[in-house]
Amino acid sequence: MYFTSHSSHYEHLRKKWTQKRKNSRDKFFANHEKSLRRAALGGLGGLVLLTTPGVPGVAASAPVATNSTVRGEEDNNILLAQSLKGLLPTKTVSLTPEEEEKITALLSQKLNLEVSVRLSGIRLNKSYGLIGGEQHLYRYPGDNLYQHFNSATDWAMYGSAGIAPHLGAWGYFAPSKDQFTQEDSQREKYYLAVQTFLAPGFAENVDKYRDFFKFRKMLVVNPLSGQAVVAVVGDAGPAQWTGKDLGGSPEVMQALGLASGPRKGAVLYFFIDDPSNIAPLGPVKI
Amino acid sequence: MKYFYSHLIKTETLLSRLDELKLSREQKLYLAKQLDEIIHHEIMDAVLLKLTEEDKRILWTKMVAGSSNDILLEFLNEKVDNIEKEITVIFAALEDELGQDITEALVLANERM
Repeated sequence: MYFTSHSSHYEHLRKKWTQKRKNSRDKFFANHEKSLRRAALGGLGGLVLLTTPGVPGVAASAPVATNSTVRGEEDNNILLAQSLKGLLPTKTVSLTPEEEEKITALLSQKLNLEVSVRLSGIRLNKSYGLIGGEQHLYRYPGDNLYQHFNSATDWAMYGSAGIAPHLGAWGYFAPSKDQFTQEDSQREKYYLAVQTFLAPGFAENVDKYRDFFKFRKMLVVNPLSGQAVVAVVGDAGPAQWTGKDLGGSPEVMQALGLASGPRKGAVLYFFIDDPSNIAPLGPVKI
Repeated sequence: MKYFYSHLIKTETLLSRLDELKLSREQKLYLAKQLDEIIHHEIMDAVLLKLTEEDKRILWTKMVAGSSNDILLEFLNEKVDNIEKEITVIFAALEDELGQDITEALVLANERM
């Protein structure tokens, strides 16, 4: 009886590309190893040129993250989670004003950000709720899912969420591909969908609230892991019937440690007062 | 990760064809890693072959110092004629070759159905 793999097509490609990768790497080092070694001996760390792992001959001098630096960052996240533990209710119910004040003060101090529940007199209906995973958004006319990724690895990490059939609440992030900037790219990458329509005072001040929320910078924190991300409001939603309170782009969910499994979890979310636009979008390194 | 040549290569076709294979996340991640490294090594090899030893050292220095991709590309454009066109030609050949591999895999996938 012959056994056939259910993934013979994958195995075929895996073997071919593993060999091609080896061949291309071997060729590169055959051609340039002396230059790399000279640069490494000069203390320059030629590994930076090749950020992929497993580069022979230069690992010793390469500026790579050590176990202690990686563990240090994880410890800081855990410390933040421990600090938050005593301040949160046991269920994801609305926080009291006192709880919000204590938590925003803690986060402002720990993360060196101006974190607040209310900005310009406006707040969301909640600051502690359930986040769910969203899809990518069209960024400019003619955009497609595959243009979102700088590398095949990014595609593998973030592509499976797909792209929403509709535009975000504020339309495209740029009027054309030519006018699409790095800032626009980062905004779509780290965007949130928030329930603007449930914000107190929204119905009476639609225009004002629409303008306020457009790309409004926010901090989202996973209180269980201490992982945090700076993101912008890029869409309105989710609908109340979903049971979720906000949505995060695939990259936001990854930064919060919620990208796998059910792709949802309880998070804290607040505005960041950053008129000079200093705080970069993306994961917060504590 | 974005490199100084990222805007010169378009991996959309390869990625959309890989999607046709209906791979698991782990399978995608593995193949994606191979794909990124093949492209990176081939392009870097071709670029460095055009540089003198001194220019290679300057390039390393700029990269270690964290120079932007724009600065790195500007440096390469000063040192090598038509380097951007060279990169696009190299990638086009790679795209053909790797695309052919995906086609073979798709044939295998369809044979099983």
